[in-house]
Amino acid sequence: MRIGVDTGGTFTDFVLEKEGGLRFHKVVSTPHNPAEAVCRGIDELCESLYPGDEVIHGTTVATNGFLERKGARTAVITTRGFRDLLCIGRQNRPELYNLQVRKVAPFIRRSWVFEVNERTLADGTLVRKPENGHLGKLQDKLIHGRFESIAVVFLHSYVNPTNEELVGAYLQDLGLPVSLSSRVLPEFREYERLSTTCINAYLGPLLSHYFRELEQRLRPVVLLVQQSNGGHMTVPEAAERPVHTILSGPAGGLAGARKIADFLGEPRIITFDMGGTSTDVALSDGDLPYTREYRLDDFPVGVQVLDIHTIGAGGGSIAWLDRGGALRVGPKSAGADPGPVCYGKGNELTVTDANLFLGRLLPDYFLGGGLTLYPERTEKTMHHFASRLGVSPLQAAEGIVAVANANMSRALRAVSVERGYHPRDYVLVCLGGASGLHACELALELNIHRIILPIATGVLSALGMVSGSHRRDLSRTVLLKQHQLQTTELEKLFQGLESDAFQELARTGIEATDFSSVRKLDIRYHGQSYEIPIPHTKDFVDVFHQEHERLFGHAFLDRDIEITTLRLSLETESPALSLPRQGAAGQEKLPGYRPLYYAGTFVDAAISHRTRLQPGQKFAGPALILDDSSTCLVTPEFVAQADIHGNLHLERMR
Amino acid sequence: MATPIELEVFNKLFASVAEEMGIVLRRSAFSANIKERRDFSCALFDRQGLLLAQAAHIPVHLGAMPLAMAAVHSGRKWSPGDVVILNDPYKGGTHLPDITLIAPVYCGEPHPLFFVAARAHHADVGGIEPGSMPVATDIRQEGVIIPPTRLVRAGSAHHSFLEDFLRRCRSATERQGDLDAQLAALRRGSLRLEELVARHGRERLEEMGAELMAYSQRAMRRCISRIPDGIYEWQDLLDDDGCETEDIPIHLRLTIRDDQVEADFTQSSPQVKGGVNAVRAVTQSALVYVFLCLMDQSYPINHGCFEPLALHTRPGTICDAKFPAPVAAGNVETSQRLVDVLLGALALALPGEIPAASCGSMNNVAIGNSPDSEGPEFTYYETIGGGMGARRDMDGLDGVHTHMTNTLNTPVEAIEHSYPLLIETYRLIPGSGGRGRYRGGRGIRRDYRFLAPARVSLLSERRRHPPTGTRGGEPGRAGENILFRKKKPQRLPGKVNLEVLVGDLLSIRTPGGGGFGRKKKLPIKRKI
Repeated sequence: MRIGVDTGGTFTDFVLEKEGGLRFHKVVSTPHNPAEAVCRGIDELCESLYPGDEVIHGTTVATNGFLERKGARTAVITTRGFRDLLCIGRQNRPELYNLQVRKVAPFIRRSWVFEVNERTLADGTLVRKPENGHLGKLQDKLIHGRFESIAVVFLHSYVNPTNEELVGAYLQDLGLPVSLSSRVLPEFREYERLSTTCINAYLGPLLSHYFRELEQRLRPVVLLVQQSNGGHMTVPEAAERPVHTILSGPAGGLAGARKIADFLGEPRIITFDMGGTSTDVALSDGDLPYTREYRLDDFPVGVQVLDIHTIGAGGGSIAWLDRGGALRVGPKSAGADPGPVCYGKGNELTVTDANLFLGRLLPDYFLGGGLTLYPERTEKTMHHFASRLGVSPLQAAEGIVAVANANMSRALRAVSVERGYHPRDYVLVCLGGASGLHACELALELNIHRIILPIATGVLSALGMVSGSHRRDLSRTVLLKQHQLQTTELEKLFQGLESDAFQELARTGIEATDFSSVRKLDIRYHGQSYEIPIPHTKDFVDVFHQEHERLFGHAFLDRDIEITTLRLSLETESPALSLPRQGAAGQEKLPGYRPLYYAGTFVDAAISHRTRLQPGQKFAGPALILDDSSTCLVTPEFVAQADIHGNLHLERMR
Repeated sequence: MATPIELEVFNKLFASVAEEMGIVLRRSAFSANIKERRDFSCALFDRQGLLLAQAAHIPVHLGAMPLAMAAVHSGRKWSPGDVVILNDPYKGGTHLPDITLIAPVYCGEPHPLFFVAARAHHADVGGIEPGSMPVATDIRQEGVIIPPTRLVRAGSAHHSFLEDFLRRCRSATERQGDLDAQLAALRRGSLRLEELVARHGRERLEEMGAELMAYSQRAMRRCISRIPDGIYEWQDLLDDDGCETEDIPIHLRLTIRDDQVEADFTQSSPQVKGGVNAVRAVTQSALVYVFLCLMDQSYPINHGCFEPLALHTRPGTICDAKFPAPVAAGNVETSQRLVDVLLGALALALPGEIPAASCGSMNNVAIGNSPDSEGPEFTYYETIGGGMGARRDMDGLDGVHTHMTNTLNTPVEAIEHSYPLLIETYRLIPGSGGRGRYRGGRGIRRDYRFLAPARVSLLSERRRHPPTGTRGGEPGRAGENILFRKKKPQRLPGKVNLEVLVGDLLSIRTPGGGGFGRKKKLPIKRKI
């Protein structure tokens, strides 16, 4: 039995996979301790857990901890003369034509950075070792400063990690987690390596505490952690490599959407994952898109992650009036606690409240009736809010939805139009509980003609997790020039990398036999700075010339090539996704028709439950289609149809 | 009329072509200056040679690209497959290291529908000093001058020209690789434009191009009309020209009338002996930059933005130099002072809105192997950021490139991998930002240790006159250039060519930004 668990800002989603059958579940998140919701949901979903069962967990603990600056008090130890590097960055400003331009303040204080008199040269020559006397003093400072985590980043440690390892070993007695840049990201470019290593160190204690507690409570199952690259890893791996979880949840979502899209034969998709506090969008042209230029709150993260664009707006985003009297929505969110006004506690209106007020959410059927709503609270607050705006309550609610949609469509444009892809050529795949309410209006605005709401729309991230595989990405900078190349040498280097990897995996109790490995080389012409990843085959040099020609329109057959980095991806086989067939079922009593407010007027919308739809039967909007984890608004421009697996397909008619 | 959504879509379509050209250029280039520091710009022009889109890379290239286009376009007979090259500052260039390549895009029509351009700063184009950024007294000492010339004619390269050019540059293989990268960027741009024409049709694309220009022009005019009408005068000084002329005045008389601007620089200093002379293109860039900063949000950058901005200069002055004045520092140093003067005048029109002066220098460092030494040949060029001026409600940013440039630093690990240099310090200078209600940003200290004998050229400003504060804020700390030989410090002038020995340490300390507003005095406690 496998259970995928995705913690979101508002809800925690579950997918249980047992003997090919899938079950879905959802509970309200518990942000003060996300583990509570995880455990409660698992208790509700299955009676007992057995050794060998697996829980694959996507978590926002790392990302939220970073954004809220709740990470560890982290000491950074670096080469003398470079203590301000995290502040200077690449020396550029984020906007060109703005006199009021701002930069995000560093998450490590200047007084937390310590310089060490040490030096390694670019070719790996060690010219100065840190002195023991100096390290002793440093150790005292770290103790007195009550630090909780340590990052060590020395120049050129990607070629020769000796000094970093020496300092790491010296400070071992402190019993603090130590992140060495030569382990976290053994690649050149000191600022990017520094930033990645500091984030790793900053988040380590937070994350290992969380996982240890969760592992205790979930005994005897195997707890696995969803990584930002779409695969998962064990808890000991995650404790050492927290920076690999920064896109944990969204990566599960994109992986899940890709699996469903493959199953349905749709190569070109734009995923739209609107949750309670944030929205993730991504564009996939058949393969999973990767990037090594991800930025977390503007700080570079150099490890490989799925290419996902996130904005801080969702169903829980709070509506407010700015000083100029304009209606704004977000970025502040009501989250799960206190939640929207209609949850009974909060007093600030959210997008969810607006949807409820417009009749687009049914109070008695929200989350399959699992959560009681208080529409009268929303109504009262909306009247008050509307009088401040000087409009009718319905206009106010519609305004809130319109502003939220404008935010969403900007995000969708960022991954499509701005990169030269026209949304028209793509299918919008909805994830997350709130996306179905906004999908049609967004599709109209972006000229998208088809929308898919997969069977597990509200829990697709958790589905991606349950259907993923164990994965480990490794890299090593080698900087080998053409004349230094011999195939046997490369083979040896790769074998070394592989055996290191397997040893490490074995240390955390994982068998090597189940893994298949993919070897890639980062190659460039000697003198260039941008490397092209090429599979490690016999004719990789020719393939590189061809790739360069394809990408840039020319190849330099007489120039020397240089291999900068070896890349190894170890991955177990991922279970094939097969969606069970579903007939029309379910006997719930639903109201039939209900008025909802759309485009400035009330329309009568047909209400149905997703499980009661006859596969293949078409029906035109306006309609509301409910299931246990989401609600879909079909606007009058669209025609909806369910397939035999319960996926909903919407097509634009006019 | 185009709808707001159409404007947005086509703006992004054109802009993404320019952006993508930039990505191709950066990724396939060989010199640190292009691949790491991103000292380049890519642009598209319509059939008349009017700027259609320019990727937001380097502001100082803004006004210059259209002038390069105009210089290449006038009276030329194009044929498909042509590429024209130029760097002549007196014919569409800015300073010699900036080499521009321009190609027509036909899309199957008998005449060019569009033009694509890629400008990049090359680490060396010959001349008396490695890096081609020397202190000189004649432009012919600064490097090879290329007037607009066909580099490729109907698809076949002009080999004899190229060979001749490369023979006169240092590190010729790198030059060749970078030129190939620029050609690749042009090819990609052409390809994308052809795809756009195939998808949207020629007429629609051209119509949307015109709509975008009108849209930007409207936005610029709206922005200007918010500035109170009047005549505002301001003057600031350059430290020196590196050849004994000191305190060189730049004078501006700025007239705002409704939605029209007239910037009159005619009363500025005559051109000088040393290379701080700016060609008109540079002055044009500074003018456009400042007004783009005043706009309330980002609009498409195209010909429409330039229309309401009239520039008056007098040939033979520091703002509009005549051949054979040297111009290497005009583009990188005088351009910053031009911005200070423009903002100074605008501060009179918009009291309290305009920030204090920023670092005011790009702190240019060019290094190359000593011609008599035996080591390998190399040339390296970089610029260093400084403190940003404090703003009306916040401190200036620390250690950052301001105004006319936004190049990145070269990673220390990349420099040390490729050149016989060690960077021993790269940090902020405490106390260098001007005090005030809001503090100016801090300057940077960068120390270079030489592992081989080398020639160094420094072009830097604000070593004598520090960046000014505003509304009672204090000035930032002036910059310093110091050479340590056998641990003995020796202060260097702001602009200098020098020979360094193995073991020498060059320490560049860049200026801090000016402060904003009077610092509130703490109430003094009186004994009772």
